Amino acid sequence: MERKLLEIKGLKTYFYTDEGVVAAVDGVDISIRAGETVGIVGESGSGKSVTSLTAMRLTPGKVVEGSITFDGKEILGLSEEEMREIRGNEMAMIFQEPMTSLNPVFTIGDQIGEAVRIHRNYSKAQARARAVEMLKLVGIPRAEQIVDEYPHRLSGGMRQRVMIAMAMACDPKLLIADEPTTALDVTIQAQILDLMSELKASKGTAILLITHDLGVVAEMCDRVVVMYDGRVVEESDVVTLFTHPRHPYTQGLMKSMPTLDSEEKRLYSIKGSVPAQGSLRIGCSFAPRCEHAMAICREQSPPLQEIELGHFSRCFLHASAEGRTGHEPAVH
Amino acid sequence: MLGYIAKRLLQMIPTLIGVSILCFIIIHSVPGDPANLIAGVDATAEEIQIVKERLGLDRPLYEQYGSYVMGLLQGDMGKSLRSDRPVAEELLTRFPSTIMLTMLSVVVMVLVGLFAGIMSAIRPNSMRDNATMMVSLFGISMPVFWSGIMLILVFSYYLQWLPSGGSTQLKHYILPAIALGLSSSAVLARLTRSSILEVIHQDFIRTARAKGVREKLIIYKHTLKNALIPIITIVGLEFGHLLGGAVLTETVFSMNGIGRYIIQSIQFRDYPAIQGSILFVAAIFVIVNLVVDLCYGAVDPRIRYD
Repeated sequence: MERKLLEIKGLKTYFYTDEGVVAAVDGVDISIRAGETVGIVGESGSGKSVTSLTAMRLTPGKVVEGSITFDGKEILGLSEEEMREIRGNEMAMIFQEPMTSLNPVFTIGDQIGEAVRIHRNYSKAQARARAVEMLKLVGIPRAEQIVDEYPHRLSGGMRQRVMIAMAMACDPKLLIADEPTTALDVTIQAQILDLMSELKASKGTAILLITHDLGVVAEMCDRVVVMYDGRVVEESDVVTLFTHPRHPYTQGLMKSMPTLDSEEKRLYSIKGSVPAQGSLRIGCSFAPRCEHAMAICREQSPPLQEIELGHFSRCFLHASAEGRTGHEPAVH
Repeated sequence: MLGYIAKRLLQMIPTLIGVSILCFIIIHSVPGDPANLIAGVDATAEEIQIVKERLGLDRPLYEQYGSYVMGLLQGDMGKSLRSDRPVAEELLTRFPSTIMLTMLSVVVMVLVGLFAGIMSAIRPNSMRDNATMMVSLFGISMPVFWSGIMLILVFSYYLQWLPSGGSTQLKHYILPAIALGLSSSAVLARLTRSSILEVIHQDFIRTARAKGVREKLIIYKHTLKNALIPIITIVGLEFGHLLGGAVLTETVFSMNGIGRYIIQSIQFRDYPAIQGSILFVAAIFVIVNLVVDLCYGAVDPRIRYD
């Protein structure tokens, strides 16, 4: 088996607010192999963004438990100085809002070149040349002129290309993309996704893609992690997840996707809403919205089980089904 | 850009006309008559009348204003009633001292205010932040003449490090510039703090952190340049405030500048001198505002002049 590039184990990131402790990420395991694309799917507030920000050690929350190893190094134990050397160099990140994620008072070239100036000690001229090269790579026309422009002269799609150019400037091993297409028009979304796929193919960069858009997941990802209320509820390869989703939440998500051949007049939606963050978790946090909820679901929290090879789900339904057929759950 | 500057300079004319009319009306409605002061305490009514006629003070106000403006258009600011020397000459000899004081105060204000504001913003709500903001509240509440007198007391009287008055050497300017600059630096510190805190939570700062930019550069490069617009605005406004503050400061430190000249002219009801000084200060203020507006464009590429 290939070596794991990023391995998050038992991660708990809590926010200490005036109203109490919010367990935004509550025991998450995610791993990514080199060159792999892993998607994290979930609603707003499921903890997917906090998980990714914690991997960059940029979360305002506090890591109370768990470990994150990147390229064999435990990064939660690194000094701020050592962490800075990884950020933007081996591990880079792009964000949801291209309109506000670029600094309005510095030129495009300055902002793209900054990473190589920091991490590779490039001179000003070298950094500018690298910026032009990156702009061409992400398909921006007139790169030689755009490099000296300020962000406000570019459209949202162009700015997201600039963000990608910036993140890829040091040829990172891992690119974390936090909802990279959410703020963009549908046609532009497709272009940006194509661009990311191309870069991944040519550079072998692993991608951690955070999204709530199942269409994006289907197009881009090798493996998918479904998060709900700070926990992983299901994980599998992308084909299995779409054809045989096992967790009731994932099944609900699949059913709520519009299809062309549907006879239904109204689109399915999961009843209820995401539980308020910070509420004490007793039992399965999806139980109040679950169509199959049983008595045990309200009393105990189900464990994440490997129900098939490489397919994990956190639900008591599997245990009872397997109990009847006599299968032992595979050891995780 | 050049067109914009020309337009702004032309706009100065109505502003200055407005200032001159207002100023003219106000000083002539103040009780007291320069003719009385010139003629002396024992003068008879006839003698005073003779002085009035000689100075043209017996004519109606609009005529006096008319002849004053006619003179201005020919570059003549009139003669001081007190010294009988041209007002323009009097102002020019005092101007360097006042502008020197104002500039040094701006330097003190920017150095202290910016630094204190940044220090506060780096660790908001920390002990350091609270202490800085307390001191700056103290600074805002403190009148310049009082802090000036305190500085004289400590550094001139007790320690005898610096002179308490005069305006011929650089050392004469140190205490007044500190007195004047510190009060404004308090305002600037508070503004810098809030401005930086606003910028530092923006998405592009997170982008910079994700790139591996070190925290010092995050503050001094990525944040500060974005926070500069309100800071420049306040520095420009405070420049006018400092020019005005120079009136008090120059009196406290017995400096021979425009501020003290204005006070003396008002006491003597020296109409041409008051008019000329006020117009002069107003013109400087308008020009400083133009410079501030031009600075915006240099800081923020989104601002354009056309």
